[in-house]
Amino acid sequence: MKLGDTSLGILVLIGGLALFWAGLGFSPIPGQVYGAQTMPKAVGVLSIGLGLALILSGRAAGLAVTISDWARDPGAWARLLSAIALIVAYILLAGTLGFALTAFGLLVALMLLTGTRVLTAVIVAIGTVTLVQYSFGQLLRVPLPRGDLLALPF
Amino acid sequence: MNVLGQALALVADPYVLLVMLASGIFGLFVGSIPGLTATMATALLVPITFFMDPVPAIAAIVTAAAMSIFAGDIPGALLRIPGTPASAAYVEDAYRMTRDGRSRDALGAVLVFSAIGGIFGTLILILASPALAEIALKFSSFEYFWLVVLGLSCAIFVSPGSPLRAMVSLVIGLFAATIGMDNPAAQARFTFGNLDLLAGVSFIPAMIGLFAAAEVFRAMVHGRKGATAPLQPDTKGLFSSQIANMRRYPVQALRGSGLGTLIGALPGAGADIAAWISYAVSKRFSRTPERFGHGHVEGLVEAGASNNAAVSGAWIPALVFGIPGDSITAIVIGVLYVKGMNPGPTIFLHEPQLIYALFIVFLLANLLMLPLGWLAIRLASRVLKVPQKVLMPIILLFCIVGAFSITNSAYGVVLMLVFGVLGFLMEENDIPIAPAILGLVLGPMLEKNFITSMIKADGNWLAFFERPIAAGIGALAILVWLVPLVRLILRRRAA
Repeated sequence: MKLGDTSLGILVLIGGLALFWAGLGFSPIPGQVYGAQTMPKAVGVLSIGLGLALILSGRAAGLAVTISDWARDPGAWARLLSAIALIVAYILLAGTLGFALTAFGLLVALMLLTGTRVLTAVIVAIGTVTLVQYSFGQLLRVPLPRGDLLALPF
Repeated sequence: MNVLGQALALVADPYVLLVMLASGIFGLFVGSIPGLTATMATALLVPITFFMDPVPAIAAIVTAAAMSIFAGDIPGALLRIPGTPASAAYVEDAYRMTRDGRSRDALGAVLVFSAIGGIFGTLILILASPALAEIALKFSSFEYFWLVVLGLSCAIFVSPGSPLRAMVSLVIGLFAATIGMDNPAAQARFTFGNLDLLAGVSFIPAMIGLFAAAEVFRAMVHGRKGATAPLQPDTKGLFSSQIANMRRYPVQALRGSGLGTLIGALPGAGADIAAWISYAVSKRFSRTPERFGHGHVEGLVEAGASNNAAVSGAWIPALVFGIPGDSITAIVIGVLYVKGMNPGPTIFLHEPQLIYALFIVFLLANLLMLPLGWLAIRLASRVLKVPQKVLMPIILLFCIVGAFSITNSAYGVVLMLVFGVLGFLMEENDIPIAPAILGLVLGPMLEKNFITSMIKADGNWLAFFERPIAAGIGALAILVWLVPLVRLILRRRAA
């Protein structure tokens, strides 16, 4: 889905106004004119100008929103939203289930989404999780969540 | 000489060499798979380099970046799909040559001239950066402020497509840079009471999101397109076939390397833009411009050298001023800061052995490209059969683990997800990613140098033009803005 210049401009304009307004709430360095408010206000002003320029440049086309080819396919939307949902699920569950189990579930689910066969998905997922657990968890000492259910023996 | 000896010792460490070999293979793999870019290779490598000393860390990134830019040419020649955007300019020529049974000539040319371009860019880097650093030592906050402004402005006007949309990207990056309390006034901004956000937007998870996760989302949406079987390349006499090309096109190779280095050194412009411009220049000055696009090797020589020269050239502003020349060096600057090796002219004074070690690494990486590239071409048709539907989920897992390893908490993963979705939406709307990255990296520098300057000058704006170099860079930055505006007005008048 592609926004035309006008609709993008309106979004940028609103964002710029909000940023400028938020910038008013910050205070300068004591004894100075400039400080924490300078940058948000400057970026706000830049965005307001940019929003107006976009609206001007797109005025001939109106509020055009182009729908890309993939966006007509409900399957594509489903795959995209499921992928995002799966990452959210990973974030929520990894702490309790542990890295190995959650990552395994994530990989299998994602591969099934992209149309991989179940057996391939499971084998590849086991291999990848083991590799990541070993390389990051063991070699690089990243404290991957262990979880209580299935902490891999390394 | 002693410094050079120390530098050699730093690089000759078997560990460093092994890291280079491994990351070279990784770069070749990522680059040769369509849809995975050189920047993505770098973003995925960063979490691993995080745990290394500065020299092996940079060696890994330099090698992977150079290799993946070259490897992007392989699927271009065998599948007619550029492996990275930097190979898109001459994909038609490379594919047609392979189809007509001249794969040796095509792949040999991109391999050999990639190495030549990379080495040329490195030599310029070695020659120019100490001299530039000498000048940069005299810089104060005024000069740095203008340099940042110049860099951000170039990023907008050099990026392909609409400059207005590039500015949207920049604004997004600058806004993200204001989050947190790491600002001159140390006030918490836009944290909404969240403790993690106090530290600001962690740069590497954001990068992984913008460049890698967004790509995975795109692959999820587009699914597997009708796969074509890759052509079988011929590797016999790959190198010897290039002697003729070197004799026939020395000017092209030199021009491509020179222009590529220059474009790479411009902030915000990287290998892909260098390749497009060099291909156009090559066609413009060619004796046989009509053969371009129909399987002609001349453009391959010039643009192939150019994109690798740009990879090296991008390091000039990165090392000398701490201002990234492209999105890859933008990532690296983030890494350098984390490693306490603050890029900028003082690094040439305090740690010259590190700088020399980096130079050696650059040369080595480009030489390593020849044997590894040969191997990659031999194995290419097998690598290209790795199905994307299996690969993309694995990449996503690496994104998650990589982002996690930077913050050691779920916060990194959340950031990665947010920026991944953002990157996906931006790409859908033809908003380039590179300006956002530059905004995120340079935003804090812009703010700090502006406020420091204003405190020094007691609020007097004219101080920005009182020092000669500052005035010069300032004038240049303003010119970058004025030229397109004047052209726009003139075009309106003419219409």
